[in-house]
Amino acid sequence: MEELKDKKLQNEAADTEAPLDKNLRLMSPTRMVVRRFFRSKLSIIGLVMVVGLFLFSFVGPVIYDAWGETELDESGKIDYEAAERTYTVDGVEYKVEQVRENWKKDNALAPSSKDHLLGTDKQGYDVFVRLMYGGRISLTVSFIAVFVITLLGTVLGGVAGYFGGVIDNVIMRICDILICLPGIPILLIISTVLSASDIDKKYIIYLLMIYLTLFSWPGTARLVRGQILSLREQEYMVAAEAMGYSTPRKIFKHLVPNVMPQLIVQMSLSLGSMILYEATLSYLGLGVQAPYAAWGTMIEIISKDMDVMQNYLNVWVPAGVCIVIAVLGFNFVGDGLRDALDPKARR
Amino acid sequence: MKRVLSLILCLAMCLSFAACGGSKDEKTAQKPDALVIMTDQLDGLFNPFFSTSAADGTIVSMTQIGMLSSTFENGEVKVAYGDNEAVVVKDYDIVTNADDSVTYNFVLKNGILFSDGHPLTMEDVLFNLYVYLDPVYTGSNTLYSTKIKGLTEYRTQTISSETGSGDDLITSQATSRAEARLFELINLYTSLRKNSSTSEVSYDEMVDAINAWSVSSGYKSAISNNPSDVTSANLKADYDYALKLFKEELNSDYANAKESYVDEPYSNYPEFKDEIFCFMYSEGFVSVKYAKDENGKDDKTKFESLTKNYSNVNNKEEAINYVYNSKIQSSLDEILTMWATATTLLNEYTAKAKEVILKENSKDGELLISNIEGIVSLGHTDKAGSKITVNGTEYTVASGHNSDGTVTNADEYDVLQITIEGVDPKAIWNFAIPVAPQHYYGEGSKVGVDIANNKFGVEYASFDFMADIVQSVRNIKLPMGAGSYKATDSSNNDNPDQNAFYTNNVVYFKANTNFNTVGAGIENAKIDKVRYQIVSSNNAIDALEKETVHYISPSLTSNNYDRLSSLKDKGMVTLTTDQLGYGYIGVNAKKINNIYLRKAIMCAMNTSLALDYYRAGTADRVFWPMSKVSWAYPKDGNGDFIDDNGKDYPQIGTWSNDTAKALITKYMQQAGVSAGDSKLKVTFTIAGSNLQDHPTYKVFRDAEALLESLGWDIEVVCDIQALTKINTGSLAVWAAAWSSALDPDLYQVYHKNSSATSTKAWGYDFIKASGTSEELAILDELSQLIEDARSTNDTAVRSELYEEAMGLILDLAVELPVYQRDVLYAYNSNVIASDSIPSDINPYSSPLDRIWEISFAS
Amino acid sequence: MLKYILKRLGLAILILLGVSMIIYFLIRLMPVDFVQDKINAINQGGATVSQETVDALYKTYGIGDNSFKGILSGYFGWLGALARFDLGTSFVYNTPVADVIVEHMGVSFIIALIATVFEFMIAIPLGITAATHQYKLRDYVVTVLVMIGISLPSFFFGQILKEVLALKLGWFPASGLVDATSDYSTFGMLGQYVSHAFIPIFTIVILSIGARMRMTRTTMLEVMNSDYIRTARAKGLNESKVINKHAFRNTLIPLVTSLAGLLPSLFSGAIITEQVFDLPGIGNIALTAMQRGDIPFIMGYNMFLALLSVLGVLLADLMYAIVDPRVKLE
Repeated sequence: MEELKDKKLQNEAADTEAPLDKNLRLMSPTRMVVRRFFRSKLSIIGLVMVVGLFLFSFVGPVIYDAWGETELDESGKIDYEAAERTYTVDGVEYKVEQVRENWKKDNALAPSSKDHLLGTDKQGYDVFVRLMYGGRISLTVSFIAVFVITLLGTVLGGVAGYFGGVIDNVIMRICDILICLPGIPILLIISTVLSASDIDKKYIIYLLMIYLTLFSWPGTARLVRGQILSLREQEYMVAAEAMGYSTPRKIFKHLVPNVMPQLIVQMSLSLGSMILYEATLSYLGLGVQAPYAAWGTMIEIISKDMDVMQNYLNVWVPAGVCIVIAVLGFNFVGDGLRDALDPKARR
Repeated sequence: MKRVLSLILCLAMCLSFAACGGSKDEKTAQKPDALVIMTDQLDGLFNPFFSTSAADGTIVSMTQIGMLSSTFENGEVKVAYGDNEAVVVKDYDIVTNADDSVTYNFVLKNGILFSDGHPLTMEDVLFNLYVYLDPVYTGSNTLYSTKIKGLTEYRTQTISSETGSGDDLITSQATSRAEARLFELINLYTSLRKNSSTSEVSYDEMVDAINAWSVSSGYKSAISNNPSDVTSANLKADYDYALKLFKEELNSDYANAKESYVDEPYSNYPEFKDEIFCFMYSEGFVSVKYAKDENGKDDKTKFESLTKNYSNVNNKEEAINYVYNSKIQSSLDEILTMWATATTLLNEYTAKAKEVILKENSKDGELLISNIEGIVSLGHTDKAGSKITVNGTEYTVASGHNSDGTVTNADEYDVLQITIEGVDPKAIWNFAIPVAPQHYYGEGSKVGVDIANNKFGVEYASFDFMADIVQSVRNIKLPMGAGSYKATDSSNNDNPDQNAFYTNNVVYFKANTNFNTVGAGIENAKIDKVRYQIVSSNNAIDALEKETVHYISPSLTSNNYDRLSSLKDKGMVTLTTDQLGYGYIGVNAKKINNIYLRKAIMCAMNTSLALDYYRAGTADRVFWPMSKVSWAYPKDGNGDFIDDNGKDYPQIGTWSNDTAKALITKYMQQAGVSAGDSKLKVTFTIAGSNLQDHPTYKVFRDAEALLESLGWDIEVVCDIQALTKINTGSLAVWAAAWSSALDPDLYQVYHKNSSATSTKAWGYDFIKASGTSEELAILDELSQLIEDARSTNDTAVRSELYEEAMGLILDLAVELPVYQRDVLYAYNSNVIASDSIPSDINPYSSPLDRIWEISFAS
Repeated sequence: MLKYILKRLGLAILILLGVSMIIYFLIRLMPVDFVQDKINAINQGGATVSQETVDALYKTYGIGDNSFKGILSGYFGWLGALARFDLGTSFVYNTPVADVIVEHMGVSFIIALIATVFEFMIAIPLGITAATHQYKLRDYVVTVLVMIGISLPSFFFGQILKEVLALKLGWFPASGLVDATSDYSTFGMLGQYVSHAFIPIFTIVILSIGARMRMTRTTMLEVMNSDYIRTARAKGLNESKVINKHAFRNTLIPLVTSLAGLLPSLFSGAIITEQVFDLPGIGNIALTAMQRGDIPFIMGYNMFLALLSVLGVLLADLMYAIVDPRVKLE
């Protein structure tokens, strides 16, 4: 009798001590995503890299304002040049190795010092400061471009995939035409037309980025549409239809989130490739014009100037490293987001 | 696991292939099989007539020899010819004729063979000449700008009335036909006047008579080959045209009338102050009664009475009309025989008649003018077999030719005679064309070769001929000639496939075994295999170091220069010489139309900064708009360059910002502008795609800072399209460079009448239209000096004239000369024997000029 | 299916017409004028060009009239020639455009093909490995290494590789495709090609592995988390069969989409890489042609690429339908 009573008491006690609903910690979906995101070490590293670069580029120049972006170091420098000269004295030829001191006004290609943390480049600008200013342009342009591409691509691709029929046809034909236009050739043509016009050189890089967006959104749209084509037939969509949800709700609340992983991977890769595009455009001579700085122009010098490439690593290696860090960082963050946002993830 | 294994296998296979490809270490121990020379990007247009890019031209010239070439001795460029040079001309001289024309006599060598064994003869020389001079030739050779006698007629196939008065049969025939034509009108008129009561024939009466007239056959044969085409309408046209000419003549008479009496003893008479009176007097409308002198004879200096035989004439137009109407009605015959109108008409009629006669004489489908009068092969005229003295040596002109065009008697020579109108010191260089084989480049031509009958293998004015025969696919891909090397492929075949000559960025040559036929002092090339490899200029020195190429011509940057110096220990030899040309800053007179503002801009340029771009000793400043290489650059008595051009610009001596600022301020005041004026907004343009990588960038940058401190608004930009924009005159201030020609003639670039597009760059059209009188005066004087300088061969005289002319250019403030740099050549002395390559090169030659003498190092 | 293909081909022709119009008008808008450049070159050498020559040149090249009507007539001229399979003659190279393209295509195609093969051979296994060992060390290492590969601009990486492998270490030749200093037998020639092409191919492969591997990994992960895989595991199938037989097949879908983009890149030539290494490929030639305003060549080349793109897209859609039974074509 008492055993039974104990057991009942035990059960009661167990109930009062730790009710199920009180033991559970409720997590909102966002919190779950964040938690999953921080589970991967790579994502954390990536986030740190990206945030670090942003701070470096945008806040850096405000703190470290020893040199301006286009400020020349005109403190001058003595350049030593060795040349062999032949002198004929009394009929006898003398070969003399003459070392001349040449006073050059610009302190170009100076090594790193207290004044110049990373030295100066070929024109006499401070490398460290230009790295920061360059980051501003490279990062800004890439972000804007990718954002617009994704927005355009998702909306148009989603609409095309969902509705099918004429709308799909029209949008896809436009996509086809834009995809078929060969990228770099058109870019070259447009840039020659632009450079011949009277637009301020500073804005050409932005205009070119706009053109890049125009040519890149079809890729995203096709991706989104493809996924939606397969997802559209799935059972939960049939259920949503049956439930009578409105079309926008079906598209943007049910279909698009399932496209998200692929989309995010694409976005993060795009961010990286936009930065690389900027570098390639500079190589072709179409990027940011002198004297303004961008990472692409800072590394482009190695293909033209062997001397700088081999002997003055402080001029170009930092910019290259920044590019790598930026692209890596974006990619790691993208990876982490993909894993975190996957609705079919394990935990 | 499987996958990893297969991956490793693949990589291993690849690496083994790579190893088989030959490791570098093995090869440096042996001699290379072929000499490899670096070249820039090739277009693949390997045609001696039409190649445009310099790189293509180099490739083609390996297979060609020219009429003449050039050598540089004692600071002067001289013509190279003779048996020790790889040229076609054995001997030559220049003879000035009595009528101011100049004749060039060229004695051609015998026995030269092309690389395929065909002989090089006068037929090939004439073929080349007629291709270059054809009206539809659109290549880059400008031989047609030389004033060869008869060239314009040939190119336009018309006879101009200014063609020299030949006293040959055709001209006299034409003259008599022309007179017959003229007299048709005169006879008609005189017969009408005889029957007229007033001794005057009005215009309408004349026209009626003409319409009723049927023209004679003599008249017809003067106008056209088709007599049925000629009607009285032609006669009426003649009449109207004669009247028109007469009116013009009266106009010019009027203009001259007053002047012509100024020196006359009776010019103080009040009537002679009136130009209308002078005119009427000169046309005979004033009756004169002279006063009598003491002997009772007419004193022609004093008038007793002057009676005006005209009335109602109050102005020029009325005067002319009065005379006109009177004369055409009463003395048309006089007009057509004694007035200047008559001479003009006769000349024109003669020219037309000549055309008719020539057409009659020519056969169907043949050219009216089938050859150029000024180009003659003496061996194909009646001078064949005669003796001629050229340059002090007597030669016998070829008396007969074989079927292949060669001279039958080896002691005799073919002589080419070219006659030009007027002295032209540049002309001899125009004649230094390459001589390409006619049987190769004219293969398939509808016109055969028969010099005596004016057939040179060239289809006249045929685009198809130029495009399909001269530039056939084979003729573009596979050049052939008498040069030291001939085209081959990677397996060294004698008859390579046309696509195998240039593959994988390599061009293949082998020694031409017929090259020693070019002259007694010429031997076949010592190195059998030569290749040109495309290497971009960034990779040039790397390629030399790694022995991928053995000879390079890299751009002269301080980096390249330093690297080459550091490679000296490895056996790389560097050669430098001045470049034939100079860098300058141009200012457009249209965009900056005030001469003082232009001078102000020029004062802001510290040209010594341009030298920072180059290693010391490899570049120099230039103070006159001419290359220092040219003999015409001003030098003082010791032969040193004169730096002080005597103009008020601060570049001479040490630069001082303050001096420059003072000068700029002065010019600004003279121009009447102050700081912030809209005229002070200027763009400086650098030609190219890279703004900062240019020698003049620093000059512009500092000038910008200087000018902006004085209130100007300057922008420095770079522009890929700069060259085009310069030629359309749309750039305000720019930096570019000239490459000079062999002769310092300044006509093309600075003469006010030059039709070259270069003058648009300075804004000449603007100056001519709306320049200030100062500017116009400078321009006129400059043009005159240029003309004087190009009409004599005396270099001392020309130097002085050019010094004055260049001073004027600096006064006009359209060009500021900046710098002159060296060119760089480098080769690997481990591969190329240093004693076989000339170490004393000059701006007019390259070390590879006598490439057949270069040998491998042992 | 056939009806679908025909319909798409019809659309393709319309698309190509649209593309050709856009490209042609853009080119004519370019400030580069081939005739003007030619005249500039002559002037730079110090000679004059008479007006007649200028007119004749413009007539030969057909680009004299820059008004709207002129451009339009130029376009229809080009179109007409195209109908006769005549792509015109290149201004710069003076040979028919088709010949120029074919001549230089070989090098680019082979390099691209080899690079793509290697890319797939390396990237896909790596992606699968990374996916199956998610969050373990293997995943991290592979990801980081591969990511560095795609983080570098192509010319940057190529230049560095050239500097290190060719110039400092001397293992491979620095540029070009053949060594002109010596003569080689056929086998030796082949070896030459391989050693010269090694660094360029290596560059291209490293730069492209990243994207491919990523895509494989992502899709693989998705598939691995799906229900039917769980079922297969629950059924007791061994892991390798699960991965290779079931999971891998379903990762094909996105890979197939990406194949569409590959077709044009196989033939277009890697413009930048060819420039850096002085390879005589079509990319290098095309770049020069574009910078010099060689209109027939630009039109011919770009239309060729556009055609390949269209075909590639059509193929991708077809493959989609074949590979994924859930997709219905209209």
